[in-house]
Amino acid sequence: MMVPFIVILPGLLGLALIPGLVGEKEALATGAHSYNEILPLMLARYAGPGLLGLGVTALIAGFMSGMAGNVSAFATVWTYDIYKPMHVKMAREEGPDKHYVKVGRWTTVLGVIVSIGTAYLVQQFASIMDYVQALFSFFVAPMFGTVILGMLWKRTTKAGGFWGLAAGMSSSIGMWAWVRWNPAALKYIALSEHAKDMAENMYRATWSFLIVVLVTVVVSLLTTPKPESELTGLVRGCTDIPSEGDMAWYKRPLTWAVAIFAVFIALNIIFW
Amino acid sequence: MSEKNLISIWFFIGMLLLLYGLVIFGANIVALFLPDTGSTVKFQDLHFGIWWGLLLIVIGGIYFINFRPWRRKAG
Repeated sequence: MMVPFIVILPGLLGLALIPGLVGEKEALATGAHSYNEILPLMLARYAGPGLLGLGVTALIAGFMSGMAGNVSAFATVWTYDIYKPMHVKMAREEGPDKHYVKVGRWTTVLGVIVSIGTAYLVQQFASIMDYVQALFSFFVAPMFGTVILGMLWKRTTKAGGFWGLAAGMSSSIGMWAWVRWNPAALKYIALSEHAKDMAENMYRATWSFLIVVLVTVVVSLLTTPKPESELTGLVRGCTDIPSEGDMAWYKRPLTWAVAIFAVFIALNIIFW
Repeated sequence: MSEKNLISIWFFIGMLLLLYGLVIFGANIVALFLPDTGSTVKFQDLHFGIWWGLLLIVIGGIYFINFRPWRRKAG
């Protein structure tokens, strides 16, 4: 719930306070300020000496920690989950730690180069928000389907999860590419030929989520499930859930879930 | 190294905030007495820097004092 307040509220404030903001393409052509520059513009407008330095430091620290976290996660996942099993299979023995550390280091370098490359990719989108929403529809929406089924349905199998996620991600990217290649396809994806980018992202995310759920359920039903004893502590139906009876009402997850749902409904009614 | 000798991360965070607060507060107090150089920063008459500097000093001070490493040795 805090993310919209931190990300969107300064943007909306800036829109009202700084007139003449335009889209990225127009900004490049005319030399005007783009709405992607809202944070530095607001800092320059309201933060005096000292505070401006602190603001810029905070922004750079945020970028650095985000990038460091993502790049090290990329290196770890690649080295441990993908490279190591492949290496063990091909070499028929586990390599020395030194070898995997070296692979991890080179992957980190590669990750940094790839992330610099994505900065150029962002330029194709109208704004950073559009880019982030497109990425969410490619990866986060399908992942949500897989995680929610894996957590709540004990019949979900490994193959079901894998093929469901693969189908969801590839169909989401496919839908995006289809509209880029043929703009007329928008009326099938977003149910209207006049749909804005954000509406297209939202519909794409919804379709990819539904595809993940459908493919995961079908493949899971066709494959052998894991015994329940192996799912203890991982899946809801196979795990003893601790009682919340002695907890204060404001510490119970259900209270906060209801509060968030109520705010969600209220915001939708207000801004419909 | 035993856990007793570890210095809490909050001590360093408090120290940093305190230092930032002192610098921002100090710089803006000095700016109060200097002639206006025609800066484009809005609402300068509200002296944001002084208030934010004070806030940082208070928050940083609380963490700095609460997590100071020499407190445990004395107690």
